[in-house]
Amino acid sequence: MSIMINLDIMMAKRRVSAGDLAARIGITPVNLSVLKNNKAKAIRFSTLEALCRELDCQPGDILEFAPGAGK
Amino acid sequence: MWNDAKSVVLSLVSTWIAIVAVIAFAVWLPVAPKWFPYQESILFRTETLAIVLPSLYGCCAAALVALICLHGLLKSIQAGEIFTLANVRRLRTISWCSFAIAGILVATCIFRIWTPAMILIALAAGFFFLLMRVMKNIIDAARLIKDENDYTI
Repeated sequence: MSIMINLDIMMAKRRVSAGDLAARIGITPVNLSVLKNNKAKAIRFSTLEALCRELDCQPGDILEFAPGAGK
Repeated sequence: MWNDAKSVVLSLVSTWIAIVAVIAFAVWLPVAPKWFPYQESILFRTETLAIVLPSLYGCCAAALVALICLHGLLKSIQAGEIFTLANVRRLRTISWCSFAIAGILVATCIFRIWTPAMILIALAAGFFFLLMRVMKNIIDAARLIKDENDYTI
């Protein structure tokens, strides 16, 4: 997958823990871990919206297109 | 009250009965000619036994493999694991076993050893092969959809 999720970078910038963020956006810590480790196959707009709201950022800050990555 | 769990148990018991029936048939085969002393059945005449016995044993082996896969499939359904790669493999094996049974019986017919029952079983096995292929394709597609759904956050 050439789409990378830079969630851990944003979480470090905002100094928020995984458990805390998961609770605030309404997903399980396991699902947040799947997202953080680039194992997710898709992300719902509602999840992305919640992430951007809680981390006070734009979708582009979380998602990155990296050709050739993850092959 | 009847429910899904009891239905799976009934299917499991039926599978076990079928396994026992196939084994019993395989054990009975060598003594089968004695049951037809006047050689009224073409299957158990002295001159046809050399072809009939291996082909019927081949069918029994394929049927046993298919039944064991069916048992595994039912066990995984009981465990709530339906759309898995293992089940797709089991369905594929069952379909090829059905094809093998149809093929063996058709090959036996080439030697001009045939009965209406053999033709019917060959046709049924061939049709079952098709059905199982379609079922396998459906489960495989459902597995991919489930996989995608599970990893959509």
